[in-house]
Amino acid sequence: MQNSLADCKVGEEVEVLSIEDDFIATKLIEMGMTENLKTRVVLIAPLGDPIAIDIKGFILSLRKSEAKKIRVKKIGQN
Amino acid sequence: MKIALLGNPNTGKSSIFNLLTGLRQHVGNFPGVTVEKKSGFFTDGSQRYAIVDFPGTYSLDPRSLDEEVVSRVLRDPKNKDYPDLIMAVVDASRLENNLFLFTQLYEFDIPIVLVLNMWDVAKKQGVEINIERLRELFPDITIVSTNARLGLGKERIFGGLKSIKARKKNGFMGNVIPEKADDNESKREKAKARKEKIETIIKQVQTKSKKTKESRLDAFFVHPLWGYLFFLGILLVMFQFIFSFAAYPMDFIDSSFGHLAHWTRGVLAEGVLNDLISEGIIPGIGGVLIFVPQIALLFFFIGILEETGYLSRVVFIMDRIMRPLGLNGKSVVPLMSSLACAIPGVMSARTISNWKERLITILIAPLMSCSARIPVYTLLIALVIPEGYFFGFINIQGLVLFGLYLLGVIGALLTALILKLLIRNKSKGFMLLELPGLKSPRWPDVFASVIEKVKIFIFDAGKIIIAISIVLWFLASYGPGDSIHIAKENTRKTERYSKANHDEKLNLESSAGLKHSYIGQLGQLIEPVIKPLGYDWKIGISLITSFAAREVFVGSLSTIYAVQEEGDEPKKLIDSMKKEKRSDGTLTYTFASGMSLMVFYVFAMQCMSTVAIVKRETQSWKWPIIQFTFMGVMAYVFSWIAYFILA
Repeated sequence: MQNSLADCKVGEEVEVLSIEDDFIATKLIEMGMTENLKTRVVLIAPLGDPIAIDIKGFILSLRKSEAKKIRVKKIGQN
Repeated sequence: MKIALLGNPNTGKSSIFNLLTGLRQHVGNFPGVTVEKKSGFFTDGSQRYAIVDFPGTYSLDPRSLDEEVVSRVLRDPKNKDYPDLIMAVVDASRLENNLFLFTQLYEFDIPIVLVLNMWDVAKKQGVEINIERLRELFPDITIVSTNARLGLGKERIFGGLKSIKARKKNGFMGNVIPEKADDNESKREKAKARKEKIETIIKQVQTKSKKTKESRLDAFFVHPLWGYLFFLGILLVMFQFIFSFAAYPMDFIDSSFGHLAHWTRGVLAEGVLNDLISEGIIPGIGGVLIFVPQIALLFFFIGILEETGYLSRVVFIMDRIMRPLGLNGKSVVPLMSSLACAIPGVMSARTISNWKERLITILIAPLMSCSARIPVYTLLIALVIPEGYFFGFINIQGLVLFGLYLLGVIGALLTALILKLLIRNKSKGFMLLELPGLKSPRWPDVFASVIEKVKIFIFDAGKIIIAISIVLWFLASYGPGDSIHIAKENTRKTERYSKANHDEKLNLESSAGLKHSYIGQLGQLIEPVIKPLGYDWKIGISLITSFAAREVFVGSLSTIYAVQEEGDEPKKLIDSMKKEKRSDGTLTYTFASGMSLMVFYVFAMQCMSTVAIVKRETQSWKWPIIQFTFMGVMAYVFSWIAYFILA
């Protein structure tokens, strides 16, 4: 199933399919997130926003508005 | 030789800077922008190195003012900070991410020393890096490994500096660096290509044996209940320290400068120079130094919070709450610290990287009621609010005090909302924030940041504060023509004077002097303006002198009413204020005028030190003037409303 990163729950492992916004995508590449990256939602702030993901051992926090632009596919569970 | 120290945030870049320079550092700004520039020097034998610690950045394609500085300097060989050598710091445990910036730096024909820092952290996480292979891939640079947090690697860096290699102009992607003019799509393509090439390199040089595990503490720090409670606890502890422990050194500084002024008055020959030194300059310097304990304590705590990585967790849990107000999760610390004193509060807004959010934080910080307002509040509450209890247990005076604090907080948040709509954003509104691994603080780095902040305050804001206090001294000590002299002469002829003892005589003389000084004249001049608020010209004088610092209000009124206090409680002052009447025979200090005055002190920017530090932090007079004006307007309007309703 195809979702946005913003819909994921803590602990879910996902694979990044595409990033909609070129500007955000560039910044994410600089910080290590590329398409095809396998990542995991590590933390979600109390009000559901921002969320934090694990990029190869580096914890990145992003706002929900940014996470909405990232299409992901769940892995490890069907 | 000029070295530019560059690297991603959280790579231990500052630790390396501190390790190399010790305390031989200087903090300034890059010309024309409010980006902090830390420079220093160190020597190895006869070779002297000047080093500039650039802001941490993820790439040379700028997204904030901080990052723009880096790419601007490197693209312009004529820039005075253009380096002879780049020292690129990368976190060995996160080599893949860090190589992005490094490979961009590699496009320039500047010799590079690549420092693989946090070597031990990498080892612990099971990351093995094949340095020899890395050297083969980048043959024209020098590569060293260090562990700056443990103070290790200085010799290796020196060794690296001795074996600098000439660059071969090959670059990583063929000397291609993203241009500002590029559109987002081509920037993305370039970034993607670079990233793919980095991945092929990582496969050759890095092996990872363990899977990284995040700390359990993080689940606690961001917990919907425990997370906020823990943060509240931290703030309370910080606040307690700043509020109560700073009081001892502050009293010491206060009394030392009092004694010094008294002593100087005695030894120097009488005259203008004596007055200038003992009443203008010495109290001015004392007025600067008195803030040092609070600033040092606050930055000691903030240093620990930043070093441990906890501050980024605070941003994580506060961001959603502060965002609707145009603020940032990081605004919480400056605003809370401003409850003790706005000066360290404004300075601590530096941790906010978004310019607009930082500016709004700075502009509203002085609306939080600081400790200097307490003497004013307590005096006026004792004067116009009756003692007693609501429902038998809520102390009415305490309730009013709480109400004043609340008024300040609400005023600050509403102002933030308005400013959010008015201020243009210089950088794009997004927040990609790294949550660095939690670790124990490195104390030399904490102390270096304390010393740095204290120096900024004393040398940058201090100059303005001393200048203004000399002006205020002059205006309070001199009057047009012979007016002060004549006023004192007239006082000596009065019946009250002839019956007074020696001390009372002196009080009466200084009272007459102040009333006829330039400030006294000014107080009378503004009386028509402040009359609608319920104030007379004597209060007007105190409002003007309060600009030195709010608590001066109490001292000025004591001088005007010619009372000398014994002990800390202003009993005599309250007595004479209670009797004080206007020209029409009504009481000056009524419930209405007292409340109006308190509201005025909640909102008005009566603190030259805050003006000075806002000027320093925003690098222009524009913002402190705007701030002074809107706070003044708020003070006037709300005091008028208070007086109008209550009178």
